[in-house]
Amino acid sequence: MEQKNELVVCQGLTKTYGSIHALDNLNLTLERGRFIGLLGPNGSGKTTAIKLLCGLIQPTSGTVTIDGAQPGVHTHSVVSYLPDRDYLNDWMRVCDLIAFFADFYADFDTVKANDMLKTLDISPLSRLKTLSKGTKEKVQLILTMSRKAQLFLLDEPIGGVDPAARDYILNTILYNYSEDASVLLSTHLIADIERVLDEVIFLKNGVMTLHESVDTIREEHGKSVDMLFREVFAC
Amino acid sequence: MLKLLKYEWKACARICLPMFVAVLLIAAVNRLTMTDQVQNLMYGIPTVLMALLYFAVLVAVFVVTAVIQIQRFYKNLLGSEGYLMFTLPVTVSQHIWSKTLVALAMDVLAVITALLSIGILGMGLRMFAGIGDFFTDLFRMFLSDGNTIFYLIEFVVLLLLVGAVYMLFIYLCIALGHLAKKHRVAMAVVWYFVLTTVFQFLFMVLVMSVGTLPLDGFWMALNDFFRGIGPNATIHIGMLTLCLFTAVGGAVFFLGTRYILKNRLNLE
Repeated sequence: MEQKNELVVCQGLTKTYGSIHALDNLNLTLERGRFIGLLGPNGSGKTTAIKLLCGLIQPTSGTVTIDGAQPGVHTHSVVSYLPDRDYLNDWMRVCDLIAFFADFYADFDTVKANDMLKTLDISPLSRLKTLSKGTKEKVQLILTMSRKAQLFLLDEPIGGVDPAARDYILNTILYNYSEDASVLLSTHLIADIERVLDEVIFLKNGVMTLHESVDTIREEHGKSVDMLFREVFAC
Repeated sequence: MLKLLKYEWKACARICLPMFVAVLLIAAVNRLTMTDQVQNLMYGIPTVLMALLYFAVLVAVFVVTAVIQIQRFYKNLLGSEGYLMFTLPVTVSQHIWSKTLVALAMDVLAVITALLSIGILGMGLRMFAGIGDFFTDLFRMFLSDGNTIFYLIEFVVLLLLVGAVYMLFIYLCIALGHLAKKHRVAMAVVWYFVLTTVFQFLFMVLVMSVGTLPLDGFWMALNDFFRGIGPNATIHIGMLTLCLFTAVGGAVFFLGTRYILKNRLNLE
């Protein structure tokens, strides 16, 4: 079966919490094979958007489909998600978690995960609760990136790790997704990721103010994404 | 599904099983301290202390088991671990089933542990012979009157169903609490009391209204029917009806919980 090039389609996607519009009428189509930055200041709706894509929260109105299906068993099997928090059982050892992921995700590559652990010098036998915050984040990222998913949803993957590890992590992300997969990465640390982005989405108070390819931004605005971001979101 | 069960079992067993073993060990030590020599030692204080310890641990087993069952549902599905569980390619039904079945298994093990520990206290090593005798008697009863064993099976099934349905009821309360925007744990407790009261009220109304309804003809026919089939069959039908009603209640709780987790999930 030929795959459609549209991977994610959001139509009128809205999420409100009381009177606050966390996400307001998002109409967005993401294609396969793209590295997309979801950019915006704190509280602009980045995490809300990603959680809606994962089905962890339900939209107030609007629809979202991934690979043609609404969030559910199928989308979970093709989406690899890295939340912005500690979400793993901290009594488990790293190797238990690898076994857990391998058990549930058919596309999980145990060899690749173990290789990455070795490179970052993390013992598979250590328990999660004994690891530092940064190391935990690395483990979470390794688990997420060891899948051959079609869509990687990475919520602030580089926020808590040191700059040296940041480069390794970005390279890990960059070299670990296949041609027809896409990465949607949310962050406010734009300078660090600018070089890898194909396109960017700007979110401001729950509203998408820009969805453009990085090349277009450079050509039309004559500036880097980081500079444009500082301009758009200047306080 | 089997994989979910495996991990759920691991998560519960790592806390519950050592506790169960501890109860049995403490019961065994109690048995040893109940001898005359030890009872005369230091005014019998060690014996009394061991007995107190045994009761404390026995109570703890049931409290901790209940807490773990609730925590496994609340924390693992609706806390931050839900970010992992609800992005696994499994259905909501499979999640609820795995939680219920493992919770039930823990209940069964807790009860067996309690019974065994009482056996150890009362009989020591003779308990094993006692268990053997029990099953021999059971087998003999089965040979003499098959009904006895079926009563027993029906009773055990009913107990298991009641256990599972109670678990599902708690899950439903937690899920209903999750619908609130804030204070979700408190709301779950409120739902628990509200629903318990409502069910008690409905049951009372049902019992009171049954007598006043114009169903005399139906009761007469039922009476004749039961007389016709004899006491054994009547008890069987009664037990199976009870099982059926319990299962229907469980199905309602299950579907309610499933609806909320599937369509109204909003992880914080």
